[in-house]
Amino acid sequence: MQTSRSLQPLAALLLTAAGAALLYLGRAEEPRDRALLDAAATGQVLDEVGDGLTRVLSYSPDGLDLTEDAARDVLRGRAAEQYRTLFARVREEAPAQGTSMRTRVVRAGAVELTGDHAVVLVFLDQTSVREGGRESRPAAAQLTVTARYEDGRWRITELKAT
Amino acid sequence: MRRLRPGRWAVVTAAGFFAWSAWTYQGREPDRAAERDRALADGRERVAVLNTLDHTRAEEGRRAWLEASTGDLRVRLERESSAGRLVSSRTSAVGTVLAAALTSFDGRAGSAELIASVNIQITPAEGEPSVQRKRFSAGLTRTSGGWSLSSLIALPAQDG
Repeated sequence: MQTSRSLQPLAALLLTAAGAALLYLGRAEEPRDRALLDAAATGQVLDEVGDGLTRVLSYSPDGLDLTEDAARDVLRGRAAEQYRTLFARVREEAPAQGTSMRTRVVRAGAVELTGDHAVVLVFLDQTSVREGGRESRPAAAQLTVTARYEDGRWRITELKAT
Repeated sequence: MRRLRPGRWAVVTAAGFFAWSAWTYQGREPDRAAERDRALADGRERVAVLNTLDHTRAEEGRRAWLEASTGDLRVRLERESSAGRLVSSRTSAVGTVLAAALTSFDGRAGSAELIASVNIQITPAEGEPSVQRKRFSAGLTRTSGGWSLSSLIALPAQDG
């Protein structure tokens, strides 16, 4: 009787330690890349990246400020730099030629989603509209987009044509 | 009625904690991540296969197509003569996947969808080779031989 009572604290300690070890192991094995495993997080990054791309890659000759505002909101790092160069040309040419650009997302898939870093593959259709409403044949584009979660939303840090 | 001594309470509580931890541990999901990665890898490889045919080894190529596919797609490939057309025009194609991503994944049901951007180098009987860029959406089904293509649809740019 005395023996079993003195073993009880040890038994309790061992069981607790073993339980804690299993919890730790289990958590350490959680997949770092949650792409498609976490449906909500995956849906959010696809929505926000897709929405961001539509806004920064669409413009109208008298709505260029809107597009530029979107770029300031959505783009960071290298993407922001690359875009500044491209957009300077758009600012010059679009009002003169009266052209608009309409971009829509056709498909998007998460390649990687770890913590606050994501890589997304996006298929876009882009149509340019001349003055007078004449539309070009839509062009297919494929972009590999790198994004970072910052200040409550996904921001695009890199754009690569694929 | 005998009260449970503090010592025994400790053991009972610890045992309960251990049981709960063990149950949590056996429910973890590193396997789902591995399955997802496998679906993407197999899918990429098979999309490239279905965009590849060496007209001088057509039978081999056609067999590779059938092995890479399952379900409706496989049935269609068995019947179709796209291989025949390439052979008779002595044209070869080599497909390379530039980028791919899963757009849906159901590990339990063994089904997934994938998008892929593909370069296809076409070598005609005469003349210079040319390169086409194509976009695809593919359906994947898990089979005993890995994830196979159950559908493959080209996605050209469209008015919309």
